[in-house]
Amino acid sequence: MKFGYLVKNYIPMINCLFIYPIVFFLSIFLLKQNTLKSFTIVIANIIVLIITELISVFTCMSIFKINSEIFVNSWIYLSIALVIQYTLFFAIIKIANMILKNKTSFRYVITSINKKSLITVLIILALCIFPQFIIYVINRYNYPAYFLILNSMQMIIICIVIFSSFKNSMEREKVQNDLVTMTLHNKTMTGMVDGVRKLKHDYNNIMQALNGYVSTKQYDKLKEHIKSVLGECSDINTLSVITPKIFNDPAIYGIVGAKYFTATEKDIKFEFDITTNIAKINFSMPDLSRILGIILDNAIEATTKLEKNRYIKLEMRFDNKKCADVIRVYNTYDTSININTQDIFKKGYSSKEVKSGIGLWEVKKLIDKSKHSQIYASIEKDKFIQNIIIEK
Amino acid sequence: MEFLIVRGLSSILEALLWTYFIISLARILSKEECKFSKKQVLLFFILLVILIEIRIFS
Repeated sequence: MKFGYLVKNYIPMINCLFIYPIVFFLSIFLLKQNTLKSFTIVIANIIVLIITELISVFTCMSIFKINSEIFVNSWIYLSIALVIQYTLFFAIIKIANMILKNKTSFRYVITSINKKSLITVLIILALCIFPQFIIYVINRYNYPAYFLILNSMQMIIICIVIFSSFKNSMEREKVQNDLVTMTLHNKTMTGMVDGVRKLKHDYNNIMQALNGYVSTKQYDKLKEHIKSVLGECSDINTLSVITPKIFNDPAIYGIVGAKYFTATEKDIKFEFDITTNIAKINFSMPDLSRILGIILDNAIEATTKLEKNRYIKLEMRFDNKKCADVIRVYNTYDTSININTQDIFKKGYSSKEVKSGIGLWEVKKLIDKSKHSQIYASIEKDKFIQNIIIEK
Repeated sequence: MEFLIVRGLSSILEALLWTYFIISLARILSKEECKFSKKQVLLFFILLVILIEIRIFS
């Protein structure tokens, strides 16, 4: 009798303990997943099954006012509970598939969740759900069935309203961020259009001037004139590089665009050489935009000290040999200032008159957070170069 | 008899849902696109049905 009781009530658990390790090995050897992922999959499966089973059994027992013994011994109630459980399980799978289809936007949503509004939503949900839960537990299913159904419907409606208002506020934030990106893009496009219009307007004058130099055989002056015209063309070409298509991360696009316009206002020639897919760089984008902001600020400050030959170049390319993304910032600087390329990342080191020396120290801290990236400085002829290497 | 039918159908449905869930979760967890062949999925499903149906200790 005792053994029968034991088998009836406790041994079925061993079925689960038998099945899950086999599922774990199946997902490693058949589905070719690694150990950690297989373990996560099995644990997630167990948790979801437990939750859906508890909800379906509890709901069934509440609606039909039965206890656990009657429930377990009746195939009708078991079937109803199974239907509820599988419906919930299917709903969860559908949500998982929706997340899968919008993986990138889901990751963006997770990173951009406003903590205050999230806490507000969770508190409201807890205040709605918790009293209901206590009443259900204490009342021991003595509710009339229609009351339970109405109450559940009310809770679902409240949840839908709260989540849709939360979703709307997040969408509004995303639209505002997109607006900032579009404003910057509009600025670069306007600059390009104005440049092209100016060149087109002056085309006849430029051609006549060039013809004048050719006919009088003043080839040195012809060379200089062509150089200045080409300079204007290269400015327009540079603007055509600053697009969301090439800088396909909003944070990087915002920072680089802003620094470009700051540099052009100070008569600094700013060049780009972007050949890598920025969104796929194996580094946190917010951190990378901070790093680029600090390095470009330093470059602008250093090159502004020169009266002429102010120059900055941003290079972002993928090195096949190193299997890493390489980011380089070149800038001309006052060569009379002695720079120690080893010490510049130390706290307090600065070549400025009013010393702060924190910027590059912060950059080093952000780079050292990740094990697969490094930064070093070098000097080539009259250019100072910051090199960042980020492995895939 | 009805109990056995319900149990049998529920095992198949449970295995189907488990397969669907595990495949979806595997795709979410992988950084790059993860594709499974039909043979892999079918074999996984059949093995799950057998596992769930065995229920050695009931």
